Amino acid sequence: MAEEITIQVGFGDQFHDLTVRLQDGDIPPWQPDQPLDVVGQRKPRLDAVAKVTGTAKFSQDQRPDRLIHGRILRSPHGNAEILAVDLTAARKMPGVRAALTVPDTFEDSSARYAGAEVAAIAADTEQQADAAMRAIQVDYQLKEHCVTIDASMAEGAPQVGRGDQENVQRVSPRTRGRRRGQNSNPDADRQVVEQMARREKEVDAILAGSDSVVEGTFRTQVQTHAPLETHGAVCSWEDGRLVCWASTQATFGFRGEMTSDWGQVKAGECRVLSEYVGGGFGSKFSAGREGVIGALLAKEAAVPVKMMLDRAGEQTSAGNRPDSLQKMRMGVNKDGIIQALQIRSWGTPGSGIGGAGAHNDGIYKLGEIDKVEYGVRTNCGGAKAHRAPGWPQGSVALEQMMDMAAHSIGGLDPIEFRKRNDDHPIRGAEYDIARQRIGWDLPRVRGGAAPICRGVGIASNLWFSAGGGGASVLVRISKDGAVEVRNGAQDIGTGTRTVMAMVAAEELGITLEMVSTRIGDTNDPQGPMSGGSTTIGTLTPAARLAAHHAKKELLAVVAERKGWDPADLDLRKAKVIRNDGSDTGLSFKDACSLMDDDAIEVLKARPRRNYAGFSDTNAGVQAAEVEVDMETGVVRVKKMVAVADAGKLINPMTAESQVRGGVIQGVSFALHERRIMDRHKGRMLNDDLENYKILGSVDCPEIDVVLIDVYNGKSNTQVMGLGEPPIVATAAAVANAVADAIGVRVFELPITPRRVLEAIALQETPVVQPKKKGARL
Amino acid sequence: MRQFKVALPNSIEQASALQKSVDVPFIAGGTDLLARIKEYIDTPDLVVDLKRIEGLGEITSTGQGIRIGALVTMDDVATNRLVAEGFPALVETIGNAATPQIRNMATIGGNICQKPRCWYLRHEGYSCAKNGGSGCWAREGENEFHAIFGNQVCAVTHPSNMAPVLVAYGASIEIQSSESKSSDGTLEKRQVEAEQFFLTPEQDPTREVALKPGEIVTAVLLPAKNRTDQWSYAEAREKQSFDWAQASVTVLYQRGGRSGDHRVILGAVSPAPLRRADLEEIIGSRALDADCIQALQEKIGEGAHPLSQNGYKVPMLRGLMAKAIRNLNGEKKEG
Amino acid sequence: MDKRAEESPEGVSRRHFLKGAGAAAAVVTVAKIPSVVDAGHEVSDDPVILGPGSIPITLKVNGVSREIEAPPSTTLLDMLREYHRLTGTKRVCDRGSCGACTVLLDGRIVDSCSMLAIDAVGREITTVEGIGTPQNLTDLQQAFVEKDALQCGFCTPGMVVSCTALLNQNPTPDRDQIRQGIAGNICRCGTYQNIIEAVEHASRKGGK
Repeated sequence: MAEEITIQVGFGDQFHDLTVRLQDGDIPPWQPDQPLDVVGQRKPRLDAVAKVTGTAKFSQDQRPDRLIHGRILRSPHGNAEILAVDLTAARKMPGVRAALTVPDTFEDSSARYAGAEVAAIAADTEQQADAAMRAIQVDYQLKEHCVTIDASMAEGAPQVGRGDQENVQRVSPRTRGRRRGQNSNPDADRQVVEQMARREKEVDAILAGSDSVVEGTFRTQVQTHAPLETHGAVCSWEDGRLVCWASTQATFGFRGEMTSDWGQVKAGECRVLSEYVGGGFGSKFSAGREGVIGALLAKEAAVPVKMMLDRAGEQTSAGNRPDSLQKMRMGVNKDGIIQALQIRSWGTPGSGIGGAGAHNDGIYKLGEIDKVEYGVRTNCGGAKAHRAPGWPQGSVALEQMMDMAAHSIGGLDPIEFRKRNDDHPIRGAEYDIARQRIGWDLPRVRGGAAPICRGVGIASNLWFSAGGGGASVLVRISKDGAVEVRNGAQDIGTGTRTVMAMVAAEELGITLEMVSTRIGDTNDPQGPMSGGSTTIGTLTPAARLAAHHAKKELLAVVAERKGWDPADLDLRKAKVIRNDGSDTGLSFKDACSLMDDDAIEVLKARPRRNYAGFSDTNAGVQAAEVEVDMETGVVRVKKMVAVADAGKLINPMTAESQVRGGVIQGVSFALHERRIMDRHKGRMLNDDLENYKILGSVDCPEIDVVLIDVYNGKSNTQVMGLGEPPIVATAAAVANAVADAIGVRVFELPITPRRVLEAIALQETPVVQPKKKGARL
Repeated sequence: MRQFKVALPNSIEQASALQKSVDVPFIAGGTDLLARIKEYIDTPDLVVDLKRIEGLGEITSTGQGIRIGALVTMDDVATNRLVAEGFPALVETIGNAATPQIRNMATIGGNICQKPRCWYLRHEGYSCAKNGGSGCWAREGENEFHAIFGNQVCAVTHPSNMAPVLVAYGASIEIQSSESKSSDGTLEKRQVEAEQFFLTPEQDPTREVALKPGEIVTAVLLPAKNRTDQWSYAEAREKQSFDWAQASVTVLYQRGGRSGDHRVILGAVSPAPLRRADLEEIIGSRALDADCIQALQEKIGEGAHPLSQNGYKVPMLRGLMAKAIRNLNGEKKEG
Repeated sequence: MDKRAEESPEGVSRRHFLKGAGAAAAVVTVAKIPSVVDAGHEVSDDPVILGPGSIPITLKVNGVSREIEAPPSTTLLDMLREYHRLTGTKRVCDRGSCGACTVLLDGRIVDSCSMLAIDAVGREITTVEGIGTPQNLTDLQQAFVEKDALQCGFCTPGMVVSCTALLNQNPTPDRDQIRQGIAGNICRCGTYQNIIEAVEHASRKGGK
């Protein structure tokens, strides 16, 4: 029966009552005045010891008996059709036990980028697999390629795709009602085009009526995920059952693919084991072709196969954040209120078309928005979801427009300008914290006035990560007092395992050290993928609910044996206590020993829906302080302040780490990372970790993380994940800080010495006339 | 990685005799050669491991200067007292190079003989002037980090941070080979000045150093009479943890010296370290003031032929030149 | 280990040679081991040529000497992971750019992916497994745990090795020295600041 309760929601000193109708069986969220013993404490990760001693076994480290090694042959051509693959010579090479071709396996003979899979080999040693791979004979029909957004959009550009696929295609607003198998729906398309024209006219009019109009063209680059553990798995068939030690963000998704007919793997049964995963950042939701290839090679060879990508394969083919070209016009009135925003954006998700949107509308009140997005096909490795897909690139453009708009109306303070256009209840407070902690108002040598200049910049973020249904957690209390929490999902480094255990420990009134966990095994209860920052918000309410009911069962046993009233009993500090707080003298361990059975096991599913709550989004503000060497163009981020809301904080230490990690990847995106494609042969030239530059220790800024503990009432734990939110605003804040430091804006990421020096040089030769107000994008 | 045989000579004579063709590479630290073999851009059947040869691993004072054995690691060079006292710019430049791990592995001999880092050269399937074919992919391709000087034949930049500093200090490279023996049977030593040791593509695009097959670098000799009066080394690179210099300027200044006594060497902007006599003349002829800096800045870009993406290296060099002179003047050291 | 080594032309004499090398190495450097004559060479001062097939290679890893057969072209990293089955040391870039494969060689950090295993004969190799165990963490490892100086954990072994060497050389490094000490180790999750804090913490405890 649904129970109606009143809870307090809010943060800081801003709390109010909220009436919530609990879903069947759910329990009320923790309340602000409720004492908590484990939740909210800084707890080391449960797997930290295994990781610092090298005893944690990742997929790369698995070594079942008779293990052999797989290798994938990749096309060296920018765009090609595979006419024929001859494995004859390769199969005769020493040690070879299995081989396959991609055209046969995936019914795809279009190698549309350099790095596309062509064939695969498994042999006894890596050297043998390597040698055999090089003996594979392939006939290609070469085609012209486009490996950059500009090349692909140029007039007369060669066709990237196949059939009637155009290089540039509108993805939003979308033409609906297109039938399956139909490439276009002229009637529906015409309607959309008419709507777009009307919208453009309306927004043009608002812009024309605004006190000030600013415009800018922004570019962001392709960023690869570059997890340190590459994609892939160790695959083994045991009596027709497939076992995969997989480097994945979705154990159950991986299993689903292995039991599907993709590549004809069709395992009747499959168990996926992923206790440790060496990073993913959004690129490891699918088993990928390498997963299918590993399973098929292992089947043919009848021995386990390790099919992990090498670094070059990882960098070219295992996913990336698409680039973007964004043109914007913003109208703002003298009172600092935004009237309208016009956006035209293009992005390259690879040879496909979707998923390259640059997102940003929603952070501020932007007035009327006219937005059209295009996907641009290129002959490059495909995009994958990458930590807040679309948001950092959208933020880079929008937040610079915000600063430009504030500047255009008499130099309104950028923070003040944002506050006037932002009604998020939490962010309002966050701006002030960021302002103070970055030293926003301190004097600085800025604007290019000396060889070394400093500047500050600000940007905001939001996310939606309260989680949802789709997970069950098993809590097992043994007669000997051992407590185990189990879920089959993976922990990719976010701290999920630890947080799940902390929630159970809190509910059971015991210490974290008394709880053990089992994760990353599809034989355990269903769990979510590690995506959308929703893992923790999805898992913890189930963990708490399961622990709650396990506690009830244990207390019922105690009450029966002792002749006490079960409703008067609770667990706290590893003891059985009464509701008035008094000690019964019975320890948790002794209570467990009263069981007749070996153990109490409770499996509970997470309530499917979230409650209306106090805030549907988690809000954040970041501020950057940079130092720019005007003479060399070298930019260094000295300090980042990251104010973040993660709902109710379970483990502030791992939450802080998540924020620091997002900020570091954001700074790395702002200053260094970019995929460099060779126009001649269409290959990625920096498919390594030398020229694909990832921010290192010396470049790492001081990061000041401020976490806001928010009782949002969304679920019984009120947690919001923090994987994605902290990367959204970072690059934008850095870009704004650079502009503040050097007195000129760099419109393209990454902000390299080259771009800084070029921007300074352009400023010194003022030949470009500003476009007149109202010009079309 | 491909399998290969490894020879373990215990003398220079043995090692030299083994290198019967350029396809038999020497390996010392291994940091460069193994990467090339893994990329299949070098496919040797035999490599000659120099690690077991005695007498190449010490830094000694010779009376005329110091002698750094070819197998001394970069870190051991940088932390050596003799080097620190006499050749501080060398210590500075090594501190900027590569990573702590690589500095513990890479040898000074290997450092000055390493292959350029051009990303076309480092990928299989790009035939060019440097690897025995013709042309240069970078000139009309992706060249943000390539050379702006002397880049007509091949646009690689010289990869060694140390090389420009060695040229500035007037170092000599000691070379031995089994071909040339003196009457008593011992191997003769040949010395080549660093400035002549590093070859330009115009001299020979396929070679970076003046070594003939069978010749082995046995030591780097630094002359006692060096210009440590005043020195500065200014370098710019995008990332401060492990990155390659995009440009560097080394200046040695002899107080009261004549124009020939000073050294200005540019690094990472040309296929070989670039000595600039014209800039040396400017610093030798006037006070090191703002006007002097301006004169140097006006001159430094002369002769540059920037490609489509590396024109920024000219203003970058101007900036580094200014820093180098200001640092000579004892201004606060800049990052 | 497989016995294909016996197929190599050098076979038996190679075996003796490197066995000798391994045993003698503790007292004399490898460079001082005399070359040996084998059937393939007539002249006594011809150099030893190994491989390409497997040969016995004796390495002293974490204090224990073991002879294992592997091709002489094997990198130290592959030797440790594939032959010694010590998988704490990670292969990430395999080109000396990322530091995930860092081990100590006579106490100094090296990228084990970028050197040959045979060049580590006679030297003290320490991997992450030889630094501390789950039951007996070093102060530094304990500080990594307490300061949350890890996320996914894949760079962590290399970081622990680099920081161990740093504290051995300099027990009280400042922040800049710590940054420089791990400048050759990439962390993709972004734990640098926590690592710096962990090293400072361990340094204050006077441990290593």
